[in-house]
Amino acid sequence: MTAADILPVLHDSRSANNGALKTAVVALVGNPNAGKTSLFNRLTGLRAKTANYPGITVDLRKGRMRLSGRDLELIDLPGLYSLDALSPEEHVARSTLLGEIEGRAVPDAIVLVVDATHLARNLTLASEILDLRLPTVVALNLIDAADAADITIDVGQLAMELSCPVVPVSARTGQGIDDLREMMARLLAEQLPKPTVEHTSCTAGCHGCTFAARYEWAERVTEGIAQIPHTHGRRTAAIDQYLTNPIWGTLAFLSLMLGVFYLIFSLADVPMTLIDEGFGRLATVAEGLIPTGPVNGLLWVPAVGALAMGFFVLGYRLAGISWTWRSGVAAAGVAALVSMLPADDFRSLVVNGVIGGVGGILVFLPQICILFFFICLLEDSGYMARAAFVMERLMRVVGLPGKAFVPMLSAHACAIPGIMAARVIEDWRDRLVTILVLPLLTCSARLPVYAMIAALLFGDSPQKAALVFVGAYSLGIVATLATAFALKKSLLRGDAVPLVIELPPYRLPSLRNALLTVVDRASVFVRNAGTIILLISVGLWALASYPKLPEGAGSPGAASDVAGLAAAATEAKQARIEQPAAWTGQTRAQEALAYSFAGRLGRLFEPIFEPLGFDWRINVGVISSFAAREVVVSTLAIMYGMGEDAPDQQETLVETLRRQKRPDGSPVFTTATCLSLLTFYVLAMQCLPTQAVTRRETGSWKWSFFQLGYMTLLAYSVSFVVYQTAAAFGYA
Amino acid sequence: MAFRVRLLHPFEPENINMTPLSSTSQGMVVCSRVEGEGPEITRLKRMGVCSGRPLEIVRAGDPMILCVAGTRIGVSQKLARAVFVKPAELAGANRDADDGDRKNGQP
Ligand SMILES: Nc1nc2c(ncn2[C@@H]2O[C@H](COP(=O)(O)OP(=O)(O)OP(=O)(O)O)[C@@H](O)[C@H]2O)c(=O)[nH]1
Ligand SMILES: [Mg+2]
Repeated sequence: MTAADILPVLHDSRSANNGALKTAVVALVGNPNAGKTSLFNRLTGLRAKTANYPGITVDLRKGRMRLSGRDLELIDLPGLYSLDALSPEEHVARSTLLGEIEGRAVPDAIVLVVDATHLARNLTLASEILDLRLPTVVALNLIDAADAADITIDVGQLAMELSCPVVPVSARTGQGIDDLREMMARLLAEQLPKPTVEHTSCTAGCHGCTFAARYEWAERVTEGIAQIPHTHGRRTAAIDQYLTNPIWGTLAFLSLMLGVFYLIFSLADVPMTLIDEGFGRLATVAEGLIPTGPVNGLLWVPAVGALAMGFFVLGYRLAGISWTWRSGVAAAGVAALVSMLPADDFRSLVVNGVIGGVGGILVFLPQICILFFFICLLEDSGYMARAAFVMERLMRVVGLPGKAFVPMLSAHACAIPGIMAARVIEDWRDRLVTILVLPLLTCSARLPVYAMIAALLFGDSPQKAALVFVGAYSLGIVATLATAFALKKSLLRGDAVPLVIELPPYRLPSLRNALLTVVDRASVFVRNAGTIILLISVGLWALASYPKLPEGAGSPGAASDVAGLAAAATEAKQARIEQPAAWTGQTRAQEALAYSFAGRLGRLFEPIFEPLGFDWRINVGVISSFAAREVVVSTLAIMYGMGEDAPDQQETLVETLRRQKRPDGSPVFTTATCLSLLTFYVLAMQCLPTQAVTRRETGSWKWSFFQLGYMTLLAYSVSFVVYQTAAAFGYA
Repeated sequence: MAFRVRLLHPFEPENINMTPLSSTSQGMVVCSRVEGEGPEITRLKRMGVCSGRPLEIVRAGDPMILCVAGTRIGVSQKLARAVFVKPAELAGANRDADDGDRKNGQP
């Protein structure tokens, strides 16, 4: 009603715009699962890209297609049940249709996608969309499935009832796609009349619920034009008998998820190794390319400056940052700074900062992609709705909806796909709480740290070491649920929004769609998280490299400028004395790190982390793993004078760590310190990519910082309790 | 006004057979009233659970499964408590009266 009232005005402005030569915009609209995305992929092929509207991130896929010599832009809108907009996704779909998005008019035409196997439900939405009176063509999709189910539909009659053209199509087989294109071309050429009929005629009574009136209209139309056999939906009902059963359904869900996890970890293994090795080789090549001797400043400075500038052009393009004077000055400034660097520093920047930083993120890409792939298959098959259904009761105990379960499972591989999967949760508050607690779950980047600590604690007993893992995983799960519960009782007060979910029919998912979705999501991840990570890893590189250790370091004069530094260098030297003489190159790295800002920060934080049982070298590890937690292993290796390659030989690393002594002669890595360090790494944020994705999905840095803040606080206080308790029992 | 309606409802002849959906076990029913408002209730209504519409209860429990307009939907008990239904056989005769009653709040 409201929509129809305002539309004539909007419509005029649209036709006015049409005078200028602009690309027409066509939106695909329809119920969830009507096959909009499949149809979109059919119509645009690979020429699609993911766009993003302001506010909370809702990815909209847009694609270009050519229709009888005319360019047009196709938008794949999120699925709708009505124009009431009860989720952020529906809100974007609604505002797009009503032209409420700034700088965008109403779409020039609509392709209304209707599922031929669920006519009554889909026509209910259709009546609401047709009432918008936009130029519309109905794509009667899944016609192949309707045929297979012996559903016969009188298409001509349907077109009469809807007073708009109807084209039977199948996004799966490609049937009717050409007809659809032709109809779209005619629609845009204004050769077809716009829909005029009021679809909720008052035959059923004009009182009460408007939805009832639409449903009655839709059912009357369906009865008139379609014959649906009685057996329709039997198969889905039979499968649901088991999959929605409280016991069998839960068991099936858990075993399915275990299977998926097994596949993720086993399939991702090879590509992860390859990426790791690839970046290692790249680093070697880059190292060889950069000259070692003195360089000609006249050639060097402009060459490096241009290279850095090229990097920014590429980075801005990927991340979609526009060139304003501010971003331009930033880029030019940094490029100038980089071109001033001595060759040695530049080499270190390229190898450790850029290549190391990018490689550190990309190793997780295979896991993320595989996870997205399975999530997409499960969603398309119709199973995800059942998973939410069986988990609803359990999850509600902590105030979260059943739909939060899949994101939580995904977060056990990596928090990023988990956070992105939280989009299935309609209610904004429920979604936000889920996003905020997800990083507490043990992701695969924590595993190297767990492994190191398990070896430190129980190197001799694999059973006890396994217990460390079980304990760490459980701590993560308990912390997640407890935090969710606490947030729902305090900051984001309210019960979980009760479940109303369509249980769509089971369908064979399409591999092609799943792969396209994976490419799409992976590129979003690389472009958004990747650029921020690159910046931060360069920043952390600078922290760990500057100020440089003066030549002949270790001599009293060199370190006299900062009070604590003399002590730092002496202590570092002491550590060196304990090592075999062959490791002098590594001790230089150790001293350099101790002398750098990172080393100084480690000292500065000493009183803060003292109650957790950390010494200043562990602090350096904690600081350097601020962007990515697995980095702590290699930092500790450097800090304790072992060189960067030590983590590969875990035995030696653990042996060396065990030997470390505090100034008073007691060992550094006591049981209490190990437990406290483990707790800290289970609970602390320490993952910038995750924060970047949180920012993206929540639309503001506020929630990322909140996440960082509460997790750091939680990690600190629980580690404090763990250390002090263990120390009180004499384990320190 | 609202108070009076609620008080009188159980005594209306057409409301004697009305039960909350949450305590109905199986079979065909007709929805006669959905109480409350807000996004959850709208979510329910737009899936087809609104006054005058036939519903089939496929599986009772929490959450329960309904079949509405040819599709199956899962609904949690909490929401089902806001939905009042009556057996399908009784619904036909009382439908008009029920509609009138809902509209005017009196017999
Ligand atoms: N047999 C058949 N299956 C189809 C057809 N079109 C889509 N599907 C399947 O239907 C399911 C849902 O398709 P999507 O394209 O993801 O539907 P959607 O409308 O984009 O769904 P939302 O994005 O959730 O709103 C997938 O399993 C598709 O493979 C079709 O024409 N025939
Ligand atoms: Mg889609």
